[in-house]
Amino acid sequence: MSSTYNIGLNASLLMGAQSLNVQQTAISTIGNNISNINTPGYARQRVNIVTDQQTGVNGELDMGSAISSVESLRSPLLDSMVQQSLGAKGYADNQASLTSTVQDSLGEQFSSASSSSSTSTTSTGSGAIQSAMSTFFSSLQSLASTPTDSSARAVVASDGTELTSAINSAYERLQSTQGQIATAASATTTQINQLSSQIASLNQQIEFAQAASGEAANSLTDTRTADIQTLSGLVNISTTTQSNGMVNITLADNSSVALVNGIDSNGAGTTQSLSATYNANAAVPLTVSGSTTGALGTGIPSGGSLGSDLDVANNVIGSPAASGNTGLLGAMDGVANQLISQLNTQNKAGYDANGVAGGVFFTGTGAADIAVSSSITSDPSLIAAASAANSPLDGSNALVMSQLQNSASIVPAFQTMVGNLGQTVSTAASNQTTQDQVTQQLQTQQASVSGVSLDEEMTNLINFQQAYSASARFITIISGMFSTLNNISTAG
Amino acid sequence: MRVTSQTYSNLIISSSQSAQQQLAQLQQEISTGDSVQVASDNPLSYQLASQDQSMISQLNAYSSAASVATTATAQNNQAMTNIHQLLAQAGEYATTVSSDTSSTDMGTIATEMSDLLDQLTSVVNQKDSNGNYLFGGTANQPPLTSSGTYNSATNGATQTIEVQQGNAVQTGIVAGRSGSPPVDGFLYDSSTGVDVVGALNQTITDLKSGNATSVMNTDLPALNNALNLVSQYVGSTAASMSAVSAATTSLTQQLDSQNAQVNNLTQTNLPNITVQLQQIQNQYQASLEAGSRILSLSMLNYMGSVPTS
Repeated sequence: MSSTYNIGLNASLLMGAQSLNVQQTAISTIGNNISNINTPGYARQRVNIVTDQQTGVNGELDMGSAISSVESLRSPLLDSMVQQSLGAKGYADNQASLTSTVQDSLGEQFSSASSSSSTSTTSTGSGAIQSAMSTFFSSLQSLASTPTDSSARAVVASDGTELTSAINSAYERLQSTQGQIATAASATTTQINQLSSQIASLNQQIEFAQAASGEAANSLTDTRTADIQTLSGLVNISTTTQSNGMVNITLADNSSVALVNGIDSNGAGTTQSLSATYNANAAVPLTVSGSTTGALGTGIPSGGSLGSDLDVANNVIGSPAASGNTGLLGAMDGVANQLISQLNTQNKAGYDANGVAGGVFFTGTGAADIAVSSSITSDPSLIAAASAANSPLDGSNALVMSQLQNSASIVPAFQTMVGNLGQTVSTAASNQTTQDQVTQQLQTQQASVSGVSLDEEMTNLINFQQAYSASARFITIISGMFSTLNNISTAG
Repeated sequence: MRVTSQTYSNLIISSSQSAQQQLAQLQQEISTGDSVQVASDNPLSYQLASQDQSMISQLNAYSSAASVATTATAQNNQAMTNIHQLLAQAGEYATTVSSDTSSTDMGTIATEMSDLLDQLTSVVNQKDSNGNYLFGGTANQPPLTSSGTYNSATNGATQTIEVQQGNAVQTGIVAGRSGSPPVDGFLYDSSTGVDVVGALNQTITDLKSGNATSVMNTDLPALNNALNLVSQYVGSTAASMSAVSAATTSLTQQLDSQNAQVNNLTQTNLPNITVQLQQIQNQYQASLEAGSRILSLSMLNYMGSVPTS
């Protein structure tokens, strides 16, 4: 054990002053912690106090306390896990929100209402398109019973028009939603580029600060950590910390796409900026490109909110049958195409009210342009309800047309499409809940290391305050001893 | 694990948010009465309910068709009954010739038989509420001309109405006609040579000419054969009425069953939901209570007494 003998009063005074500095710095650090208790990304700081050891002619001397460092308390492992979790959370949150919006855009909702059923309340209306389909095929069935009734023919034409309008509108709404997602994706890439730039700038500042002071640049590192976590929510990234304290960032899906490399970003050096491109008629409508690598490939990036933008736009909403035939647009085109094809074939197989062979019932090629033939809307007698010529009382062909609703590729196909979308929305909501819980747990663990506790800070504040008071009293006593000595010399 | 002040805030925010989301969902279910409104609420139930809904729509259409079929088969049966009565009457008139063979009386009977033929023409040429001829096949033509002879423009195609999936009821019956090609119906049967209109016309002719022998030996049997032919149609139309009635009853039962299924799949179970609402409300209240108590506690509340020197 080292001794503290042969310390002069001046040295003791200096030790007291040093102690005041140490306690004051600790109190300032506590103030900083309290001040930043709600600052995102902030990690509580701790003043590491050590014994101030000096070597004299008589060996090692303890000269009070000194500050070895002001440490920012972080767990690199938890920081990394939170960062990854935030990427997954960004994806799950956006996915849940977007798929729900897509479901709303499709507009298929159940609603209950009283009806004439003898024993129970009847649910009516299984969505705009499904209701319109049921109504249309029912009117064809009615026409089969009363083929000479001109009003029954007019109802078929009218219900057919309502059905095609419902399909056209839903298709248009889905494409509009896809366009809005593309706009959001573009804004996200802009935000990614801005964050990349900020992180590169912080890299530079951190390197300068650490080189100048030899100390860790805690506040700058906290700000950079917060930026990286925000970036993780937007796109799935991989980070690598360099020996000089700088962080390099690449896309997790493609390590050759560097967003931040040291002090470079947005195209400087080997880095790239991102951009989103939308083409409603392309097989893959929404793509993300790097400034030098070009299009990153289908489904890349796969994480963060940008990843879910791509997934919902390209896979959930998808592309028209003529382009890629995927997702809802492709499925709706498929149903509309079958409706057109099967109804037209059957109408052509029959005879209209004038005894003439039937023609086209629906025009168009898909959900965007399906419409009842203008000939039929202007003259419903052209609906080929009969199976034989000159048989105005024959409605058997209308009956066959009405039975097409049971064709697997029409009503059941549409119902399956809506059911699958519901499953997608439900799964996205479930994933969101799960990911929220995972992220919350990780953030709680991260906070257990880096978070500020007011009770803890207040307790420490009292400790350091008392130490400060004691140090001041120590100086007073030493000062008194000086006075005593001075009095001796004066008296002598 | 070290717990910080922020941990409490995050927990309170998270638990209250979760409770509010559940309360909003339950409130919506109670206020609308629907537990499934969009597919994501319960994808499987939604899809099953959609299929049931399509079935209900089809069943409603079948019910409408059955209603039309009920009217048509009733009209058919009534017409056949009327014709049966007319022919029975004609047979009675013809039978009277055996006891009264004066030419004056036979002339009177011929006149009455002509009236019966007119009534027969009226019944056979009747139209439905849409103005369509009931018994001219699908050609929508009157089976008999105004002079009481067959109209060659008719055809033998019969109308059917599907009243259930795969259950088509014959709602159209044809009068039929002689000629080339002949059309079988309730007025003419090529296999037996029964010709109702021919028999009546021949009887009238023989009565007018005073040929009692032909009336008794040829015309009366022909009228009886005609009566038998129409009797078969009275029976078959009554059978059609029964078939439609049975189908209507079955449709009503199926509709009730399907509606009950849709209700089970999509409608709110109010007692359960109300209990759940109360549970979530209690949970929410407890969360807020605990949060407000914990948040108000801090070292700050006890620092006033700390000596400053």
